[in-house]
Amino acid sequence: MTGAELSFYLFGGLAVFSALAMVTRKNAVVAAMWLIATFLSVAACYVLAQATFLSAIQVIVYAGAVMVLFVFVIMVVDVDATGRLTHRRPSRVGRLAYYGGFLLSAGFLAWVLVGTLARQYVTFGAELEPGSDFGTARGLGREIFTDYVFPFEAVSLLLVAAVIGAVVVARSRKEREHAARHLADPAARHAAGLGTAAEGEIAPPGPSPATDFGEPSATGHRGI
Amino acid sequence: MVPITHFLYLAILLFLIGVGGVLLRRNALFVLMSIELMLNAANVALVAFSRLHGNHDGQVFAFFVIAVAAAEAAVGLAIIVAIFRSRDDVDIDDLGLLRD
Amino acid sequence: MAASYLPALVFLAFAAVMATVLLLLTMVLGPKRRTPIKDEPFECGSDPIGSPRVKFGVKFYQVAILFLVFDIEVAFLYPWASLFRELSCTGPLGPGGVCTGAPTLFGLAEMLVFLGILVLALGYVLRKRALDWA
Repeated sequence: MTGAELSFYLFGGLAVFSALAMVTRKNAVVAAMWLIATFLSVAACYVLAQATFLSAIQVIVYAGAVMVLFVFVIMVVDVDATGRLTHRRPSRVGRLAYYGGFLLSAGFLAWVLVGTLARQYVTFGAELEPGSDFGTARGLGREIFTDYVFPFEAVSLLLVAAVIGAVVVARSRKEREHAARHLADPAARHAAGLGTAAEGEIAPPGPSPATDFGEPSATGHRGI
Repeated sequence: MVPITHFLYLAILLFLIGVGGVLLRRNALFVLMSIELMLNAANVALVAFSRLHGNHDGQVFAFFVIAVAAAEAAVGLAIIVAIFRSRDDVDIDDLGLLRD
Repeated sequence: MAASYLPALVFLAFAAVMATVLLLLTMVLGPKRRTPIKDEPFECGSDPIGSPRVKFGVKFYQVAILFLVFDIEVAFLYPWASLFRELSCTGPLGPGGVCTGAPTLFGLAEMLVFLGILVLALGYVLRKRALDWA
């Protein structure tokens, strides 16, 4: 067994192990740490598939920024670790999808296993001449900035939409009021999702239209 | 050299673990983390196929998937924050308001 | 080639061994005399107030969102920067990176469009005063 194989099985095993650990943890912060371990192990596997630049991006964006976001939200939401490990109680259709999904996945796994055990698809990939820029920032950029210009520009639009959505959804009514205090004009206040209540007036009780989801009613809203 | 199929095994295993997390956990945060895991599994498969064909297309897709996953995480987590603010809980089983 | 990442692997192994050995050594060698006062969380000599697990404000989340967006922007800047010479030239690059064709603004323009759209997001956040820390 060569060093590359050895490290692939080491990091692949580590990725699967920490993914399993992530799914089974009770505490969300611990689960986030295991998810970071998974992402780092997957980054190591990228290097072994010659995707070196993507490996660096995986560490910077996923293990860095995305997980920072997750940990922040866990600190906002889940400080007392309310995660329960119980099963859901699905409806009949839900149960069908539930077991069907597991059956399908198991069948898929078995299919690939049998195919490989029959040694049908053993390949090590295309030959790469040494010194080629496969997987480097240059090689990847040559594709992104020539053939994939339009998706590349679309990504920036997607990010703008994500920022606007996140800021609008996550802000509380109080924060919106605070931010819109300078808006005397009722139309502008309405546009900020505040209604036409005068400044300093106590907010009327009940769900606010923009972010609150309202109270569950007494009958039939427990959603099973 | 690692055979391409073994990368695909890794992708399948990670994806199945992610599916299990989405189906079994009730905490919305865990569901979102499992979705990130599934997207990552798809990336592993894309990178493996990129290596198989010796061209960059798979890696470019994986790059875009990373950007989309980041946007998805941002909005998804914002929704979780908003739900938590009005309900003090992020249990997905209790969120059936739109279903009835 | 992946073999050139061997130093990184050695570094990882070294870090793992180092952390394990140091933790094991303190566990084995350190004296264990626990008193209630020693087990208290240390807060500069004053008595601890409440739980250390405080809820964060949503402000942190909004800053983290902006960080995430500009992190992805930088991720796209790396390949662009390393390829800028090629993108600014209609022909192939000669020896020493000299442009053999005509210069073009294509590379600069596509990145400026990308950055310009993202600056819109920054402007929106600033206008909504999501970053005001009052």
